[in-house]
Amino acid sequence: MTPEPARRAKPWRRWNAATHRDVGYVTVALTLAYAISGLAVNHIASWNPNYSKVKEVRQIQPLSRTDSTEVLVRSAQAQLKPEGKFKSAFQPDDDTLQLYYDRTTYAVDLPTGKVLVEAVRPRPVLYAMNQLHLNAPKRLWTLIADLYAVALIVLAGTGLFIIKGPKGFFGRGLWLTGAGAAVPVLYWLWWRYLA
Amino acid sequence: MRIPATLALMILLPACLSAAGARKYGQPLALKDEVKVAEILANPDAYAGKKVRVTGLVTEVCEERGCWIKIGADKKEIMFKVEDGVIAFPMDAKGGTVVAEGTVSKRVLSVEQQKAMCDKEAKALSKPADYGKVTGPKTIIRIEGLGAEIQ
Repeated sequence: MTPEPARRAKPWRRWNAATHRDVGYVTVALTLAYAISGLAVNHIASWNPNYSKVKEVRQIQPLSRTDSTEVLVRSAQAQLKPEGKFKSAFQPDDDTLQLYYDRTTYAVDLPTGKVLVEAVRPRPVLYAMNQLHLNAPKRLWTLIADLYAVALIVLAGTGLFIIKGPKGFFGRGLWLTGAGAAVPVLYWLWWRYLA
Repeated sequence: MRIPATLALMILLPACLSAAGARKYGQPLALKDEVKVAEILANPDAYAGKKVRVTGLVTEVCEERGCWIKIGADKKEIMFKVEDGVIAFPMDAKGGTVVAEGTVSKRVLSVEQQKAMCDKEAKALSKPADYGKVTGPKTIIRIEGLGAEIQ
């Protein structure tokens, strides 16, 4: 008795699986970037996902509030000896002088000479992911993000019909898809009308 | 070889995109006449609802979302608030010279409104509400930002 030849999937199903596979490969990097960034940004109230900040208090000789801003800047610089490129200075009030350097700010309290130094550094990789996730670059990135969104729709649609039978969409798939869809729908109804 | 190349692309592509980004944010600047920050703060009723163009230094930047900056000039500062997600100012804008345009808004918050905001914030952060800063009605004058250029 000769074995029955294995049934080949219908052409549309093979194309569906191939599309799902290849679109999946193409989008895996962006999906990871968006997912990691999403986790980071979701908890923005607890931490800053873009920058790490280091604060330090230093002490210099008090400076005269009657001096001009230019004189105050020179005096403060001479004592602080800051590193990096000087950008600008600002006096928000008569008692305060702020010196801006690349990613470091010195806030000098003139009467006491107390200086609050704040150094801000972008978090490597995560900063880039967040900027792209929030579409900070605009322009071409908007198009790329749109294409990615379309790719996700394609992945969702093709993913439903990868296999057939009791574990396919019309078997357990329908229940699991319904359960997944119920989560946002029920949460929205609860949040909108009950919470 | 493929995996390192892909990783390098993932890291370098965003860096290149952000490096190439101009220091222009939002809508192009359109107004010709500038108004001093101090003038707006001294006469908010005269400017409320009007579009203005101001110049100054970026003295502060929203650390979480880059959704506002403070513009300082002549020992005065005004908040320049932009719509979340539409414009995101980077932290390294701090200390730069900004030319910005937007609509002046003046809002007086009653004690009850401020307490309600404290409640909302406390709920969002899961901590007790702090009414210590609420001492009376508070006037908020700021610019609803439309566009900016930062040097």
